[in-house]
Amino acid sequence: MTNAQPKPRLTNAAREALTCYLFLLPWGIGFLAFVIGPVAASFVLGFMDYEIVTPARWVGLANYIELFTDDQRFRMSMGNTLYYVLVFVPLHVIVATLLALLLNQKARGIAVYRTLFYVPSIVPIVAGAILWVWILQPEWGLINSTLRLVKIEGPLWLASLTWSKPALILMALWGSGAAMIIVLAGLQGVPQHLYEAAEIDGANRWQRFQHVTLPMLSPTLFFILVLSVIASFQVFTTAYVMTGGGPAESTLFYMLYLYRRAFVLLDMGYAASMAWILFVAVLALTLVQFKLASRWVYYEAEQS
Amino acid sequence: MTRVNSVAKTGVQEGISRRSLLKNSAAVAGLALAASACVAPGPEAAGDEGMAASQEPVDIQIWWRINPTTEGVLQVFQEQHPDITVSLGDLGEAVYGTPKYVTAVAAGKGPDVSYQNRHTFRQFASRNLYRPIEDLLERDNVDKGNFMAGPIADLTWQGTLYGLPHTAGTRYFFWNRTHFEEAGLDPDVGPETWDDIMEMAPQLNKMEGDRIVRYGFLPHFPPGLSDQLLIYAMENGGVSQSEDGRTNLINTDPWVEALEWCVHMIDEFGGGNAAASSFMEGFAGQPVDPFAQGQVSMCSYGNWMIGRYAKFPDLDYDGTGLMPVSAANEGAQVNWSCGWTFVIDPNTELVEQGWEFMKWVISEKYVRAAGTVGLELEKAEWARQQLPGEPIFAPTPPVYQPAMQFMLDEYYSVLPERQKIMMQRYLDSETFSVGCGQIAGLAAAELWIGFKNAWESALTKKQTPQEALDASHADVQKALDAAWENLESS
Amino acid sequence: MIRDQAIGPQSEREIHPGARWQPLRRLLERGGIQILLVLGALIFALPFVWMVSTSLKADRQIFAFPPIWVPDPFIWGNFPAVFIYAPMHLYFFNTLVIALAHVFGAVFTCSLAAYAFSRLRAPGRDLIFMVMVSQMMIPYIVMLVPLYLLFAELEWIDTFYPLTIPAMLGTPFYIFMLRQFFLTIPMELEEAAIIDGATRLRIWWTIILPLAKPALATVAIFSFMFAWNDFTGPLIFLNTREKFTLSLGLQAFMFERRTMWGPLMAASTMMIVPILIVFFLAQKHFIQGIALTGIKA
Repeated sequence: MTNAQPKPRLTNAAREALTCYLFLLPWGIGFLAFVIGPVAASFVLGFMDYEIVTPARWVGLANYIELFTDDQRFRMSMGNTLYYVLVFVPLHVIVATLLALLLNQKARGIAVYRTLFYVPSIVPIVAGAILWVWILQPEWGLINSTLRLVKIEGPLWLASLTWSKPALILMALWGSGAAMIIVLAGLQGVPQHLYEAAEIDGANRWQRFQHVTLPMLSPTLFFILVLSVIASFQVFTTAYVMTGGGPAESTLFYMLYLYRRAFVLLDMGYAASMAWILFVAVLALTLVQFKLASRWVYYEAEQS
Repeated sequence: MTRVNSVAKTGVQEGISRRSLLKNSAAVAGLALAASACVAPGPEAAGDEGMAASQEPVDIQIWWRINPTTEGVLQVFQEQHPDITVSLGDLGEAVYGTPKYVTAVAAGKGPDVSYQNRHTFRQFASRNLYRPIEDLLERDNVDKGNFMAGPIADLTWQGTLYGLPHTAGTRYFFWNRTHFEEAGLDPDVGPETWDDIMEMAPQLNKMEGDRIVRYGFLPHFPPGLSDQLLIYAMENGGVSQSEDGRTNLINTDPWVEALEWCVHMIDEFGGGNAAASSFMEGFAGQPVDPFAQGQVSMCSYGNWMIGRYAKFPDLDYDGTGLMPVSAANEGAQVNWSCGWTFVIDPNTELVEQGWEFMKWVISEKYVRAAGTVGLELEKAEWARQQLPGEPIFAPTPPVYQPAMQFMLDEYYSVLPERQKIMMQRYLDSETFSVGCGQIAGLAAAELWIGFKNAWESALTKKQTPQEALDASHADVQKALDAAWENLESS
Repeated sequence: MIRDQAIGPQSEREIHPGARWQPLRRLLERGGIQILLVLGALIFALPFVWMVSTSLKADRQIFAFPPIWVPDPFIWGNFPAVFIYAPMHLYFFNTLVIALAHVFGAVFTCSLAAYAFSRLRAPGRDLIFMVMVSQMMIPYIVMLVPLYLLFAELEWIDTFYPLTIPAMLGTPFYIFMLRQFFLTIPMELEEAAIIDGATRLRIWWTIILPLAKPALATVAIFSFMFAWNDFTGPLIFLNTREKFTLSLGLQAFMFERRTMWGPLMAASTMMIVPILIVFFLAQKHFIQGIALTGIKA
């Protein structure tokens, strides 16, 4: 580290850039070694008919053409996924934020509460799934029994064509503990003096939340938003375990269909082309989010 | 034979060229590692490489399951075969898709021997995923006639056998005798036709207010799976595809009627789909089903329940019979059979060792070794669950007849009468069962998905049974056409 | 419903016109929060309670209807039975090794990259960043086959390397997350150090890392949990039982058409209790950490 001390031969900007690249090097090595190759391979595979047991065969755009013109499951699974993303992502960000605000309070036993709220995120899915079957059980399940107390007849949840997706969304929301922790960590970065200043200015709680907490939290919320979108487009495990895509393919999400193509029907080439369509769609959405971010995300470090 | 071998060879070559396609990334990785961490490859890599002295045992990869039974059994196998050591792997979830196995095979690194379900066997055998074994059978005088006929037919594609069948199972009809007595029905006589079921089911239903708390009959069995439709279609004389395997027939009348009957049963005697589905929903996790809980009086289930139901001391599951059939099909005996099979990888060089293992694992020697471990585990199970009485150990029937005979003599002869009867029913039904591999044909994976979709679409009233089966038929037919086209063009 | 994070000492200083009502208001507020916490905890802790209760049940009680919450009889034997089917102590150690590699990668490699992405200007940096973010958008499962091939070439199949080396070299998720946190740390804090001629590495180590303790604790927990529960990676890349992880070990209780729910739940309980303890001990770091007020003032 000491060899940085002698007289710099490089300009400051060049040195900074060099340092930047050096700091990125470990990740860069991993990227070059373990990511770029498989990614390129999957891209090439997208133009091939590769059914694993038979030799791969170049078919050009055939997979893509079939996907867009002759595969109603592709459209349907994309529709199911969009539904999931549109409903789940906003709820997820809101629930995680509210939970974090709640758990940021000074209350007796707050450590225990934080741990308990996080529990669903770490219970193995096989153990959680059985419980959820019972929570959602239409006749005597927890939710519908509760609704019956207020004279509402609950839906069939996982057995219903219209309520199967909301049921899975509910399940996913229950695992908001992970995002909650990120927000909780983000809240610690809000400097106390800002609250004090706002208070002196006579701001009430809502105003303080709106003008201090939210802006200071915006980088964290932005992160959660971007990641939720990326992850929701790839929603898989809950549906795979709980419904297998049913009933009548109402929870056949994009990744579930992709998985089926790849590992059940052994259509690896087709699955690869599906992956690339998903990639382009999500990338476009993410770029839009980054563009819009300048309007609402506040970075302390960029102010000086 | 020669044709198959040459196709397999091109497969190997293609595998290599695929590998070279990806070699660049491997080279980059190698460089990166040399630069960053200097991690030496695992020590076992060195041991694997050739130059093993002739006495040194040869190690083969077998992907099966990892549990105390398989481990115990392999220990015995290795003691009896000092020239072979086995690296045991687990296939993971394996009935409807095996990502682990598929990934390894696609990378050209499949295990030497693996355990395959017959659900999709023909589809993959036709694509040379498995090594044909006719030459080995002939050389070692292994008589196909010593196996049950159905499973052997399942594993045969265009006259060539592709694997050795290990286990098999069929269906029975179970009824709860206590419920029959309560309802004033003769507990010794179960339903033989669909009409019988329709007559008995409402008498066996038990109401609490306007809610059904015990169902006489629900067609959803086995819960958690999605191939229920198949058995009802067979009961009504349905066949899944034409003789030549080119035309899918699941939208023909027997299938549509069977699905209509199921929907009708649920609407008429099951309180409608809402009530019935929500009732079954709670049992989606399979192992303890509503029949075992005394909440359903009649159901169709399989011989794998022989030992399982014995663990429910209060369950009077004695009533078992053949599958009831529709009026149109009266007098017919129907069933389908499925199970597991061992296969050899077409690219492996360790054919001899793999074959040695396969011959062993289907034989009496395996039954004895598995029985020794299994009996101990069963005893431990009874102790763990604090069950009354003697442990009932009912191992899964093998397909190889001498092994089956040994199992009957050794393990079933000491079991209570009802287990013996159920075993006999299984043996009878295996003689007229159709194998799941034959049923599924070349578009197997699509077909099992098609069953699930049609069943769910009809039950949820998204589509009529006819529409639902038409849709599934179209999917399967498309895959079937593609499979044949692929087969004939290669 | 929205409450800001009024931290105790601060509300003490609250200047409010209706000061007379303040004690009552505070009482109500505290009560309301307490109720919300208890209610939330009930909902969120349900699976854990269920899991533990099921781990003590006989199979025939597990699917009884209506559900039984208190086992009768208690089947303590489910716990020793676990070891017949899966040597959990061995799997525990294997999983720990892999998880610690993930934590190392998240805390050191990722924070280094995150520092570069948030602070150091270089041509093409933002493009590299977007490439890194987009890495997360390629579904992992289509990369499995080429990855398998790659690891097979390296002779890494059935070793821990596929599960540790890539993670140690950094994961986009954690880099992105840490970058977001670093961006909220005011620049002034390191400007003085830069003027004093400190190297960037030194600044990262002595200023940024201590300041980002809550964020680092978060990525540490996340990466640990991910590795602890990961199923796909170990499933595909590990073959022999001596190298299995806990999540793979759970498979031993799931047979074709049969699951040994009691031992499965007992094993799951054994698997997550240590994590809960670690989490419980670590969670104070999520709130402790930054004393930015002091530094600023």
